[in-house]
Amino acid sequence: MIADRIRSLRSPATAGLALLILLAGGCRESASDDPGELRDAVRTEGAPMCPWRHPKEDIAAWFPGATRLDTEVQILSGLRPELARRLGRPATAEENALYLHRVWKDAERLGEVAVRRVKGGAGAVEVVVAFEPDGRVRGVRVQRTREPAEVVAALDGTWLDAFRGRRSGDSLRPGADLPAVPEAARATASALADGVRSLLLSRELANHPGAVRRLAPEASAGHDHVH
Amino acid sequence: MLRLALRNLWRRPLRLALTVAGVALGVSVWLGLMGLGDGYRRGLRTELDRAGVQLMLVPLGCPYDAAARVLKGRTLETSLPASALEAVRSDPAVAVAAPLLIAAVPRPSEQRTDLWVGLDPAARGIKPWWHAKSGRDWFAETNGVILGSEAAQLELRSPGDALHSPELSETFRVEGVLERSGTSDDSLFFIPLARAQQIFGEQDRLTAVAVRLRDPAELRGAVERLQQIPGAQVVTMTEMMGTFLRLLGTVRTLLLALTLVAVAVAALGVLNTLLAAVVERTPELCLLRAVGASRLQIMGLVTVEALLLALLGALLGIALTVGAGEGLEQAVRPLIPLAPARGLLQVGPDRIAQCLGAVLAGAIAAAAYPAWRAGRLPPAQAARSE
Repeated sequence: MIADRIRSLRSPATAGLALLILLAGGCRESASDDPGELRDAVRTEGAPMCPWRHPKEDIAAWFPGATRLDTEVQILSGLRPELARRLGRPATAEENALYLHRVWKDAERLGEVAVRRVKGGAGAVEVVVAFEPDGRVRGVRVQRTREPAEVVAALDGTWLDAFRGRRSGDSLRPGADLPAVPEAARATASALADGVRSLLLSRELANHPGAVRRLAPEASAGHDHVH
Repeated sequence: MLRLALRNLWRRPLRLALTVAGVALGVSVWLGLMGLGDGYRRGLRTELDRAGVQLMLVPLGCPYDAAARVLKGRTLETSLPASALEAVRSDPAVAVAAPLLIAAVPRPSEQRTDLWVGLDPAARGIKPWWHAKSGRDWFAETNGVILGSEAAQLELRSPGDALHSPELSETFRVEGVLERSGTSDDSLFFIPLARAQQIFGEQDRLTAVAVRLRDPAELRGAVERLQQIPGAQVVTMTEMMGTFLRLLGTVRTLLLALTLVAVAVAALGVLNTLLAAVVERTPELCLLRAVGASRLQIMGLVTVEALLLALLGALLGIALTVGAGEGLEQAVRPLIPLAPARGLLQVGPDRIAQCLGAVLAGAIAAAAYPAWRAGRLPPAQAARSE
C-alpha cells in the first residue's frame, strides 16, 4: 500500500520527500514498536540478549563452504504460554525472542545457528547450537563459561556431541538421554540440556502463525558474507 | 497567504526536499551535539552526587584521573599503604573513611573485564543507595560476594548461588544482589576487603580511601591535614567536578561552533532556495503587486515560505534525532571517556524549544534579502512580462 502511494506521487522528487518522511516515521516506529516486545523482555530482567561471539569460527566448523549469513529475529512473546507448556517451566525473558542466524551457500540454506545464555552451576553459560535445515541439531558448543576446570572437562566436546541429531520433541536428560556426568557437573549439564531444548522448541514455535518475524537491522542492510 | 506560500513551495518538490533535508540535518546535528553535552554533564553530576563523598585519598599521580577511575570502579597502577587508612580515620573532621581495593580481571574471549571491589563495612556509609534487592546487604562469610544488579543479570545469579572465577580459581557464594543504582557500581562484584587483598596479593594495600566529613565546612582544613599522608594525595569532589566541567565547557564551545556551521549552512540553503524562487516568480510577484498587493504583503509571503521551510526541516530533524537517539548514543559511547552509565543523550523540551526558536529566527534572517528584493519589484513589470 505504501509502495502504491509512492508510485501515485507526481514526480521522483515528491517521492523522495515522501520517502524521507517515511524514513523518519520508520525510525520512530522502530524505536517504539519493533523490538517493543524484545525490549520489554530485556527490561524485565535487564540482561542484554546473548551475543554470538565467534560466528566465523563456528560457521567454518559446522558449515564449511557457507557463503553468507543473515539474521532473523523471531519475537515469541505472544507464544509464551505455549513455550512454557512445552518446556514444562515458565519461559524466561530471554526466551521472548529468538535470534536465528541463517547460513547460506549461495541460494541453498545450509542450516541455522542460535545462541542462549543459561544458568550454569557457577555463572552464566552461553551455548551455541547449529541446526540442520530440517531442525535437527547439527552441533553444540559452549562459547562462554565460568565453570571450574573439572566441570568444563566433564562437559567437553565428546559430551556435547551427544546432542547431534536431536529434534525438538526429544527428551534431553543427562544420565538418561545424554551421557552421565560427575555430580559437580550435573547442574550445568542440566542447564545446557535445557538451553538446547529451549532453542529447539523456540525454533519450532517460530514457524507458528503467532510468531512475529523480522530481519535483524544488520541483516536488513545486506547479507553478511562469510569468508 | 499560508495556502499561497505552501503552493509556491510545492511547485519545485526536489528543491523543497533538498532544502528541508539540509535544515533537518542542521537541526539534527544541533540537537544531537547539545543533547550529548547535556547528558554527559547531568550524568557526571549524578555520579558524583551519588558517590556520597566529599574527598578521596588516592596514590600519587594525576589526582583527577585517579579519582575518576576509582569512581568508575577502575584500577590504578599504584596503591596506597593500609596505614593511610588509619591516618585518615584519626583525623577529627572525618566522619566515614571507606577503603577500597579494586582489581580488574580481563576476560579476553568475551572482550570484557570483571571488576572486583574489596570493601569494608564503612563503605555502606558512603553509598546511600546501597540496598539489597535480594539476599543480604553485607557479607556474612569471607567467601561471599555481593553483586551489582547488572552483574547479577549477566551471570544469572541469585543469593545462594555459586560464582566461580576461572582466572582466580576461586569460588564465591552470592550473598546478595543490589538494587540498581544507575552508576557503574551496577556491574561490579563486591567482596570483603581482606579477602580481596588476599586474592589479589595486595596485602595491606588500598586503591583509594573515600572520605565523608562530619561537616563539609571543614573541608579545607581536612584537605591540608590529609595531604601530609606520605605517598597519598587528596582530591575533592568539588575540584573534580570543577575540572570536568571546565573541560566540558571547552568541548561545548567547540560543539557550539560546529553547530553554528551546520545551522549557517542550512540558513544559506533556505536563502538560496528563496532567492531562486523570487527570480523565477518575478512576473507573478509583479502581477500580485499590480492587482493591489502591498510591498509588505509580498515580503510577508516570502518570509512565510521561509518559515514553512524551516519548520518542516526542524520537525524532520527533531524526529531524526529522537528516532535515532538510541543508535547515536551507542555509536558515540565508546568514544567518550568516563561516559555516564546511562542517559548519555538528553534531548529535553527546553533544547527542542531553543532549537526551534533559533531555526525560525535564522529563517527570518535568511528570508530578509529575498523578501526585500521581492518587495522592490515594480507592478509595471507585470504588463511588460505579459
